[in-house]
Amino acid sequence: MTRRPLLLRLVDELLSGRGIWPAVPAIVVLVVVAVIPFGVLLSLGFSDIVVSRGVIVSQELSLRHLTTALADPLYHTTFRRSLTLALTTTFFCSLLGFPVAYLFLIGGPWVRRIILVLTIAPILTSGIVRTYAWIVILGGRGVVNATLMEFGLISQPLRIINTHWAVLIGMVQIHLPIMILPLIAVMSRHDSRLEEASANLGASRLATLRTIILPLSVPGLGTGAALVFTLSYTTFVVPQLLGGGNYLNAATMVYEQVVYSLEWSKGAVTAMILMATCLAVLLVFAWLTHIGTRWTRVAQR
Amino acid sequence: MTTLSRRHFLGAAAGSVALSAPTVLRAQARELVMIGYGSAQDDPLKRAGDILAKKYPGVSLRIIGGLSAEAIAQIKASRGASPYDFAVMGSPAIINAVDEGVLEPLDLAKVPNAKNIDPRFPPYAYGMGVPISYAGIGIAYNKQMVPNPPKTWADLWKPEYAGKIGLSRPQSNLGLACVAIAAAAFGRPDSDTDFGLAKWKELKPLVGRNPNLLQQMLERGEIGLCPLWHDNTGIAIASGLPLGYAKVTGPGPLILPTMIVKFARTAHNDLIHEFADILLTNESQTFAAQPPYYFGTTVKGIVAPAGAAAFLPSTPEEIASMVSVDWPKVAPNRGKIVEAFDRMFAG
Repeated sequence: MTRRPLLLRLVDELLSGRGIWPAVPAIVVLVVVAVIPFGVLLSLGFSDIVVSRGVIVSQELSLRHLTTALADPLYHTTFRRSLTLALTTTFFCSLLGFPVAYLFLIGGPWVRRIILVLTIAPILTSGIVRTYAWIVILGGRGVVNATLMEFGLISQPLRIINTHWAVLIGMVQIHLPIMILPLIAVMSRHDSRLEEASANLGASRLATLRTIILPLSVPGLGTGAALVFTLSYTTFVVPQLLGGGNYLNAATMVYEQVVYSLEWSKGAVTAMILMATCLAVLLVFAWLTHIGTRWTRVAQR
Repeated sequence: MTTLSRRHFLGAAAGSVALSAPTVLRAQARELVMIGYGSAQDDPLKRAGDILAKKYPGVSLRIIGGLSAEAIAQIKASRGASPYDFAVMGSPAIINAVDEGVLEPLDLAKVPNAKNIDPRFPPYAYGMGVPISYAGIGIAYNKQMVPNPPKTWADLWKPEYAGKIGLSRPQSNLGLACVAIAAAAFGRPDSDTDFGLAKWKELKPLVGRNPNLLQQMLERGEIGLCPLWHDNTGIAIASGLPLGYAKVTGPGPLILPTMIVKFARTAHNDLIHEFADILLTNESQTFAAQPPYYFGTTVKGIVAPAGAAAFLPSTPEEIASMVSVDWPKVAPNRGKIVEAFDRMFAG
């Protein structure tokens, strides 16, 4: 029997779909882009390093950077700001995204197409472009100020850009599709007979929405919230462009520590705190989603 | 024993060619990658690149815009293997780059035109490069919002400018200079950056993340005036914006020389020296001095165009009082100054 070359056998295994082989490329990518950098991050965060000519010449184990960061008021302020911003963004995206997804659920084919196009189209353009559009809209001579002045409601342009509110507006707009799409995916799977049964039993549209559709949509809300929170909490571009030079969030802080201060250990510690707090909030979201889907899971059994 | 078939041989050959092709192509093409301005100010660099390409067919220049600090961080992250060959760099960035060990000094013997450089400028290269131009730091203002611009740096603290002032973050050379200027304007040494930051805090400025974003804030009317590079202001004025530029004193007029510096381990050592030499010819210097950027020239005997007087020191008094910041005392603390800035402004 002739043995086939190793490469061909590997390709055969991959294409056969058996065992772990189909997942090998993804595992390799994950190890390269996630596990190795995470290891480097941990090693830098928990050590004092000396760099010369771009090369680490000494590295000693130390908790100094972590303990200093945890006690630093600037970290407290910055992380509180980032957390508030991300949670507020998640709240507004849920509030605005749910009605859109509901409209998709009850709308006809044309309404559905329009909603899909309006939701997906912004994702096809760069986040930087969309953020710059907000500068044009919210700026001193932007559409909002020009309209308010035109109607005589204000005499001087309002300062909207370079404030927390500008960042929030930009974040909600940028991340809204990320909330709508999982909601649409989950709500489209609803058994429409449940709504018909609810209507036949005399429930109003609002009662059906509250007691049938909303509880069944919790998995979509949970997924959307987790995605929006993660992206908002770790975002870099929107605060950079809409927050102005004295708006500091956690991701911007990491960037500045690594790029401008060239303090890798500090940047690594900040990134670790960012990741740990993000995971903690995601666990809370997962727990809330679990609680919220208790009855529907029982009913579906 | 396994026999080597023609198929195996061809496969191995094709693989080797595929792996080595980028290296071979790069070697033949000889592309020089430099950090430039990323805007119209790159014109004199592009011109010099064209001259070099004509002399050496196959040689090309790619200019990548961005802050020098970002390039230094990239080189540090890539463990000293710089993706760039050389850069235009101001004094503070050179000091930071030397601290990180990412630069190699230029050999002035290979830059014959360096002998024509005005002796006031080479000290700002800290032995690393050749000064090719200088930029002024003054106050750019919106003529509609600020009818009477400041004449000295201390004038910025007059009540008439309150609520209209902008500032660049200190990670940029401009922002770093502003912190030092605020200290010097009130009789403190440049290096007293805590005092400088505290003075800026009094003004409650609107802060731009970098000079370009600060300039955009000025153009949109969100601020009325701010410290800015003269060349950026010149370009904005040339595009028809209602801006003006004040060459302020006390200290000043303030300038920052710009050098050509070479990153360690570049493969294009001789070409970089030749590029620097082209930039120091009278033709290149005269080209750089033209509107809209009006670069200050570093070679002796170059006559600046009439329009340059609005941006750069022109009278004998101004030229005599032309200064820069005490960079060796300020630049090494850039990281600490940025952190102190955040504690004061964003905390």
